[in-house]
Amino acid sequence: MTGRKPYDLGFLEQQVLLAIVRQHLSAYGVSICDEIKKRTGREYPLGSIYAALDRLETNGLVERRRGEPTAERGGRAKIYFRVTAPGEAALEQVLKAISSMRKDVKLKGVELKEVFP
Amino acid sequence: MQSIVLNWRTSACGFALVLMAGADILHALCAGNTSKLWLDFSFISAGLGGIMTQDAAVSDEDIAKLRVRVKCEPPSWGEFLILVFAQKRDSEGMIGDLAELFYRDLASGISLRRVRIRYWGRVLKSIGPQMWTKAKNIGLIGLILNVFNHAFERVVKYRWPCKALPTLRSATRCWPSAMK
Repeated sequence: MTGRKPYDLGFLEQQVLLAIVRQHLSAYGVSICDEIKKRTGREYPLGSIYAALDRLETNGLVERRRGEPTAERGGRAKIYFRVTAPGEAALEQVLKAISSMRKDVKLKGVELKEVFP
Repeated sequence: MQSIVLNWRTSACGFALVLMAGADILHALCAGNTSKLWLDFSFISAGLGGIMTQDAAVSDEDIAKLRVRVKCEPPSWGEFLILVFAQKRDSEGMIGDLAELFYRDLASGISLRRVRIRYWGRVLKSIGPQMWTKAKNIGLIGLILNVFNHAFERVVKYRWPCKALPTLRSATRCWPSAMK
């Protein structure tokens, strides 16, 4: 990342990165979709997830690896994704920015910290 | 001398079964999936038995089973669309993921018709973002040329959309739970 403008992570990209980090080495298209749906209740099409993964990969934030073909996928291989060190740094930077933005903010008299500890 | 009396209903069922099993064999050969051909041949022999004798060797249940077997795979045209419109490096993963969701829906007990509709919905929803990404990278004219190039390559090179992934399909294809 030295000498290069840091990539601005979009909302979906942040969610995808967090889903990959949560699953640690076993993240692939369907599992990322499921994780995001389970945690946020939002269902994204696979095409959007793969488009986000493409952008992240182009910027060096994730890397892919081809798994073994499995029967439950009709004999096709899974493509696993892993967050790289620059990806972790970018995610940490975004989360830090959100934390500092929400510090001492009150919504309807309730401190945000109490709602989202 | 014993004469063979043809029962029109059994014969018609037999013909239907032989034709459907023949079509399925052709499809499986095109797709390079020969692991379950023995079942098609057993359907053919049952169909021929139904044509040649007046015994009810072929039942409606046999035909329904074969119909389910033929339909219990993700639609080839959906895979073809993904191959044509999605980015090359993503197409394998996306087709596999869509197939996984298809078989998951099938196993959950949803009707086959609904499963296929859901599959097509996912395919159509996935094509949009992929096309947009492609258009941003190579421009609109580049996108159109790329789509035609991909489609031409798939249809001419492999002669049939269902044969578009010869190396990706393998003998380990999931056998539909509906047939168990």
